[in-house]
Amino acid sequence: MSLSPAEYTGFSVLDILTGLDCRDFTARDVAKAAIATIESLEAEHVGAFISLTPEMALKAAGNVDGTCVSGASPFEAGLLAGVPIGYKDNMNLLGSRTTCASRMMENYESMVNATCVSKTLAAGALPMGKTNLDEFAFGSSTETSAFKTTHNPWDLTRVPGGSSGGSAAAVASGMLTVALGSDTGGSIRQPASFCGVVGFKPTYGVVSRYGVVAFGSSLDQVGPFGRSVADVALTTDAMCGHDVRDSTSQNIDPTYYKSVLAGQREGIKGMRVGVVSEYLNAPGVTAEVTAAFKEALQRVEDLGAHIVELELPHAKAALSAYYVIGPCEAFSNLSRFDSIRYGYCVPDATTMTEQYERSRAEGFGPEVIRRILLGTYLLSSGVYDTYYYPAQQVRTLITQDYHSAFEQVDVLLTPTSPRTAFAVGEVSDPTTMYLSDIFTIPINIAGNGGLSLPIGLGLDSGMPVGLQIIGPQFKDSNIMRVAAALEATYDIPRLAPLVQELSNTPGGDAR
Amino acid sequence: MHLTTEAVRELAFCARIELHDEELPALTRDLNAIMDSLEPITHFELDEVEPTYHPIAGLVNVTREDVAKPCLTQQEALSNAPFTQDGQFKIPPILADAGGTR
Repeated sequence: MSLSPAEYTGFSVLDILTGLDCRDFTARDVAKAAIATIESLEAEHVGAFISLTPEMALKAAGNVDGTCVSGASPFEAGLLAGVPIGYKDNMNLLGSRTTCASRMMENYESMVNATCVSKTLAAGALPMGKTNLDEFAFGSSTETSAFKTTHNPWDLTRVPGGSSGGSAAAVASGMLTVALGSDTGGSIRQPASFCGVVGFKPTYGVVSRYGVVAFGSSLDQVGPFGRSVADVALTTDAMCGHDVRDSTSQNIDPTYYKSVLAGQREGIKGMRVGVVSEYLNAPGVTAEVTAAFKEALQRVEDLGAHIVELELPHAKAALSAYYVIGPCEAFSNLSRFDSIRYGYCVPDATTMTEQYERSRAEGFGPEVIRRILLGTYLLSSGVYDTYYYPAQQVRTLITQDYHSAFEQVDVLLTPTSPRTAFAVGEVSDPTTMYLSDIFTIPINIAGNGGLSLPIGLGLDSGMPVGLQIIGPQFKDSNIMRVAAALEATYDIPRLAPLVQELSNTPGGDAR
Repeated sequence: MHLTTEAVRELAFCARIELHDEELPALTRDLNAIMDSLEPITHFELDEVEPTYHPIAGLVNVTREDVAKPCLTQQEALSNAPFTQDGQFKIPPILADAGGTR
């Protein structure tokens, strides 16, 4: 029995669980098909991975098969039994390096399993490798990675978005069934939108960040990528909940998949869906994104939901609040890279200060240095009172905006990003790059959950467009329900067609 | 303008990042452009508005019981260190350190 890459890349999580349950194939078959798919697509085309862990995947598959042989259903072996998964390379996985796509951490061997890693492994997932990202997750295109450029599987000349671009590209190309990312200002939702897959940032506090290298501690949240809302929900169910090692993590019932089923069965008739019209006048919103967004709104109405026009008066300050808060928290978090306990170190410094200065200058890339210096400046005496403290006050106003919005509606809809994926090298100015996250950043400021759902291809670029569905804090069930109902109205491929063709060429047989 | 090249050099020293003279002009320009884009934050009427430091309302301090738990062994803790000696992290001399490349 074996699986071809063409079969494997079409599988959802439930397809794998059902196939294992019916003994149509084994978890080792799935692992081998995933390895073969990665071999045919990764090196020459997509470049989604920083490191690969095929031996670990085969071993995990053997464990799943062992459980199944003993008569248990794979559903008992775990929600992700036999499901190939990838981890963003800022997540610690024992037996792998955790590089953060930085020279600073190039040789860092993971000392622990991050909680999101250990929980998904306990659920039976097969760890295929560590995915590329913008260095330390600072970026929106995955171009600031110190190691490689990841290409968008829909058009290899374009970026996959970022910072979790490797995870998004690996799922869109079929190399992985699901993948994890982290989202500080849009780093899951924006690449999901650019690569035409589903990406979900749960409410802050749903998934433990223990073992994930911190960027902005009051903003960071872990979440999944998948080719369907159901896959993303099952992955979230497998890893949500309280963890004593992350004091912000909350007791969450794993009912994400249940909410998807509710959306599929009962629809969204009567639900109240909020829209902020002035968002479409925001800088850089392209005509094709506006068109796809309006069409999605029509579908929401056709499903019987009520569209409610809303205002979020302080949302326009969110971008500037974010670029105050983010660099300040990053400055603080990145002070730990001291060249002593771990990380890059120049070998020939004669004083401690020289070792710090040269190691950090050579270990960090330009965008990381920019943000550290920005944070240093913003937290300096005098400047603090003009920017940092007001940014925290503005955060209160933005949060209040969302609270009052969610008194009137069950979810809010925006485009995920103002435009579709841009070409590699096209955007080099940092302030322009930052604008690609104008719709996702406010949600991290307020702490709500947000999901990017593919809503077709842009009429001009031919690249995927994403719809962002935002829910009230800790009511991500609303998001899942609307996403599942709306997803059912679209008939669009989640696998990038170009890569589908490549994976059907010879050399795809599992070894 | 928010920052001169001299001010950026000073910030880099505070953050312990070595910068060469030729890197300073472009970096100063980028940082000033970013600072300009942060301008909206200074335009709000914020008297009496409380700050929000994290998104979970009502969450204050979270503590655990003060009980010792297993942790990394000495060998594990040293395993990623660039330089070690006699079971310890090895660093350059600090007493003779006159303050680096400032």
